[in-house]
This record gives sequence, C-alpha cells and structure tokens, in this order.
Amino acid sequence: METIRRYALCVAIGLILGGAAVEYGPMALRLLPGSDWGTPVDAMIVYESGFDTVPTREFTKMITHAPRDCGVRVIDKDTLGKGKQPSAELQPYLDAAKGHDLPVLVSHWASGLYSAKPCPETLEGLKAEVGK
Amino acid sequence: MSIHITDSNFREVVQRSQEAGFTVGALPRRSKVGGLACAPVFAERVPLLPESQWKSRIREAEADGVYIGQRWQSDPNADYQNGFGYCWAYSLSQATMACRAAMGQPFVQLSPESLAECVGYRNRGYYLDDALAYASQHGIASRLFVPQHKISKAQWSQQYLDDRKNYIPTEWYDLDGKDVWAATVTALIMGFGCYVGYDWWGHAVWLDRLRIGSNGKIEVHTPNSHGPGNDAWISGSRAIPSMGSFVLRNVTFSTGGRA
Repeated sequence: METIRRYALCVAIGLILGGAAVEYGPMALRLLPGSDWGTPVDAMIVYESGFDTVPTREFTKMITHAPRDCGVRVIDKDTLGKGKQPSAELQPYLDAAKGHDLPVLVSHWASGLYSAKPCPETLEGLKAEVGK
Repeated sequence: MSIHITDSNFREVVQRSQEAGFTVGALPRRSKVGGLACAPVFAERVPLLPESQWKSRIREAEADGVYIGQRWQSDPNADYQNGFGYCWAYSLSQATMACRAAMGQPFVQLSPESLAECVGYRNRGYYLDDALAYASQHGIASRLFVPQHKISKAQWSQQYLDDRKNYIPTEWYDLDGKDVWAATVTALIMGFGCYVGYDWWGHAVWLDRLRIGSNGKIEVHTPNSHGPGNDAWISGSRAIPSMGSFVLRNVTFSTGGRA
C-alpha cells in the first residue's frame, strides 16, 4: 500500500513539474542570458524628448543613420499615436523602455517578447548590435 | 541644376518668381517668440554651437551624411505648388514627411492642400506660426484623399478627416529669438530640417542642409516648392530666416500605407 502511495505521489509531482516545465519552460529559457529569444523582428531606439545639449558627432551620426542603415526606427518617448495615445504597435516599445536610462534600444523578438538595453553610442556599435 | 541666391542676385530671383506666377505665400509671424504652446524656444533648451565651430561641424555633418536632406529628398513634382500661394503649406508638409523618414516610418506623400482651411479654402498666403499650430492640432492628410492643387473641400474624400490624424507634427521648436541664424545652423547640423520664412522673397521654404561654398561662405539648401530645377542654395544675409524659423522633431507614429 505504501509503495502504491509513493508511486502515486511521484506521478503527481512528476505531472506537476512536467506541466510547469511545458508551460513556463520556454519563457524561463528565454530569460536566461545568452539563450535563444527567437529572431529579432524589429527594433527601435527610444530617446528623450527635448534636448539640453548638442549631441556628439558620433551620436548624431548613429541616431540619423539608424533607420536607413540598420532598419532601426527611432521614436521619442513622448511620441504619440493616433488620438494622442500611443498606438498598439508603439506601446510595448514604450513599456519596455520604462525604467531605463534613455536612449535605449528596444528589440521585438519573434517569440513576442521585448527586450531593452542601453543604446550603443556609435553607428558601428549599433550595426554590431543588430547584426548589420 | 540649382538656383544660387546671394545678396547680389536675390532681386532677380524674386522677379523671376513673380513672373512665373508665384505670389507672396508667407506672411510675418503673428505670435511672439516662444508664444506657441506647441513650440518652445530652441535656444532655451540647447546651447547653440559657437560660430567658431560652424564650418568644421558643417563639413563633418556632410561627410557623415547627417543632414536630413541627405537622408530624405522631396519629390519636386509632387511638392510643386504650381502658382498657388501655398508655400507655407508645402514647406510644412515637406518638414513633416522628412521627419517621418528620419524616424524610419514608411513614406507617405502628404497633401499641403489639406491645410486649406487655414485660408478659408482660398488661394492665399498664410502665417508660418499659425500654420504649424493648425497642423499640430489637426494633422496633414495624405495625397490619397486630398489631390494636388485641389483646395476646395468638395474635391476631397471625406476620409481625409480620419487620415490626417495619422500625420500630426507634434513636437516643434521655435528657432527665433536672439540669434535665429545660430539656432538654424545648430538645428541643421543636428540633423533636423527647418521650416522658415524669408520676407525678401515673401516665401516659406523648408531648409534641409548646409555646405561651405566655393567662396568659403556658408550656404543653406532648400528643395523649394517651385517645381523641378528650382531647389536653391542661399548664402549671405539672404540665408537668415526673417519671418519665423521652426524645427520639427516629432510626428505621430504611424506605420501608414503608401499613398
């Protein structure tokens, strides 16, 4: 009887752990550094509204060439969409940028996730970051 | 071919414009500097580049391809006002389309004629500051719904009312103030375009880049809206905006469709 109970308990635990692994495993894997997030499908640089200084030559070059040379769009954190509300497309980028020092590079991955990291300071750095 | 406008030949340029049927399209600004809610004063936010740095920064920006005119080019046929006194609207549309391009948004040809309400749907000149205040509230519709050179609302598709909300130039800076030329040069070197008026020309244009001319003088370029072959390089005191100067930094974000 004891053996059966132990066996049943093991099966139950196994099912729970297995279910959790199926449910949350991919997400957990994606959160691990260096793991595969899927393919980046889009990226945006979110930067600050208003300026208080003339940007450096390198930063100006990076920010102005980002769309054409790297396919990275550029938005201001205060950019508003239709009806003066962030559009459904824009909102996740702004959400991902929250809490980060601007400018920030927000990537949208095929897995549906968004990640944010400090924006490179040079065009070459940005190209390397987005694989161009 | 481009037009070269200097302090010595500008009267001829004005005369040619008048002979070609272009009437005064830009009127002196009515608001005080900094008086527009949608356009804070640039010089109060950004330390303007000292003149001693201008020439080297102008050359660097050109070498780096930073100028907005190197990244987006106006279509001289689509952006041709064709005798209508709508330079104030055409240059505003050019500024908005270029800003969209700078943000990496897909190209949509905008229709300056969709701003005709500003002048009661008539063929008239207008104020740059009032035009941008209107556009920052209502937006500019695409050519898909407002055809070129059609300024009567009856000639438009009613969808323009919704469409124009996608193209609102939201974030402006007022370049006027103590030194409008220093502010204009600084903004262009930073990669922005400038929506300006010239009283000697009675004309509004969009400035898109700088260069050092063969005589060592700073020249500023505008694609203009007087048709193909009429883009202009302006130098000397003629280059200094005199009826308002504004820089556009942001437009509403829209993926849009190709018009």
